[in-house]
Amino acid sequence: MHNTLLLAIVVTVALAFDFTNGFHDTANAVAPTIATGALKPRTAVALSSLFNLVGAFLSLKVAATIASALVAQNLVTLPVIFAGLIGAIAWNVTTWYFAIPSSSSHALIGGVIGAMLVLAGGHAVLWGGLISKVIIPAGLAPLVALVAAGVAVFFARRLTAKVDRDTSTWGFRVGQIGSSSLLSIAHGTNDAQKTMGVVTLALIANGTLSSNSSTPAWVVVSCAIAIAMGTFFGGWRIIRTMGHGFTQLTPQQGFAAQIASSAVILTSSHMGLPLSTTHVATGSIVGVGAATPNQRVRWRLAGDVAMAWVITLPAAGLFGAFSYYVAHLIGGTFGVAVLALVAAGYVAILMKRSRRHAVNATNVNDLWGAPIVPIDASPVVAA
Amino acid sequence: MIASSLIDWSLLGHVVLVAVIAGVGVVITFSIGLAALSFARDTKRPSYARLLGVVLAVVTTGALAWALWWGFELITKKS
Repeated sequence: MHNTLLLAIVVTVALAFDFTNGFHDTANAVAPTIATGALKPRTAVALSSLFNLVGAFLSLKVAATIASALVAQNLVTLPVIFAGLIGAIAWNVTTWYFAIPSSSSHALIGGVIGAMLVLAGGHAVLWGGLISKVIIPAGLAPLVALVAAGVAVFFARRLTAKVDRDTSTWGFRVGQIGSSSLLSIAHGTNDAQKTMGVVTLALIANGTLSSNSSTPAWVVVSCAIAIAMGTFFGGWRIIRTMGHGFTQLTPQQGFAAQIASSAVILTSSHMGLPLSTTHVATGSIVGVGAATPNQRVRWRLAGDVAMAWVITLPAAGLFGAFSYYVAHLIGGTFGVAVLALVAAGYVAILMKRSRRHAVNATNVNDLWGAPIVPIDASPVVAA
Repeated sequence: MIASSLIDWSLLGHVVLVAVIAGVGVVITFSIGLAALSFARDTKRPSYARLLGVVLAVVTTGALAWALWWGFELITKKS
């Protein structure tokens, strides 16, 4: 049962997923702060990274849900977890490439379930837990965030109607530093735990931990550091979509959206619900735009993103199932190692291709719809 | 039917209610503080503005802490 090398590969891939989770979801906490100019892009990302690290240590309820409530623990094997993680990373990197703010959490859950279905069939998945802990909250969370943010910005607008523009802008920008930090804590609390849950599951599958064991301290620390590093790296493409794509945010709207998102995520984390912080943050941003008279909301983009949310679970599941099938076909630790290299190659190709239309700290606030100009592009000089 | 049997809708309702009240409550508190700060500035009394700035920070932080504590207590009892 014990396979230390395989366990080491799985834990490494899990931390790599955690890194992509932070990188992919940086936008959730910082996009409004950057879009409204409350903080400079690099500063916002560094601050968010720090608070993600803090948040990761606050609770373990979501980790427990991931480890015990979605698949039958006694049937889980290391290759299944590995394949699930590969599926989640592949989906995360693909959606990042296309600048789609999709759910890293659902990618992870979908990947593990897809691999599990190939290994043991439908009875290995705890469908009740999946519906009550993942699917229903996934549908409700963005709607609750949308309503909460919409109501919040309505009151904020009314209450500060007589405040002069400069004071209002200054006040809400200062508030956004706090709300962005709070949202980063909320993100760290909810999302870092998902990888902690998966690593715990791997340790149980390897026989290193007994069933229903709690998450070891080294798992908590390493996952916290991985998600913080990913956040610091900054997923600029998605930050641009979240900050400018759906609507053009004011500091007042950004503050309301971030506070509403924080409240929804912290409350659900307390309940152990592994909901998508991306769905919540997107719902809040769309909510503040929709609740403001005469403000343009790009509903078509919102619809496209919502469609991506719907297909995230099955798509990551397919990636996970395919990964497990291939690893199983090759066989053993060697099969897992080969698949890890293939996945690393896929990530490298997308990273390289993304440089053709690079989005980074220097052009993340360019007007939506304007062509992205790579910073290293040489100016055309007339002959 | 399946969803109804799997989910404690009452508990979920409490979670939603707490999240909305906490989120909206903090934004309202902050906005009132900002409006008060602006009013104090308009009175040309900077000492009032400074005092209100401190009150704004304390009240907002306190409101957030209280809202979250109250909400979590409520949910914990309910679950």
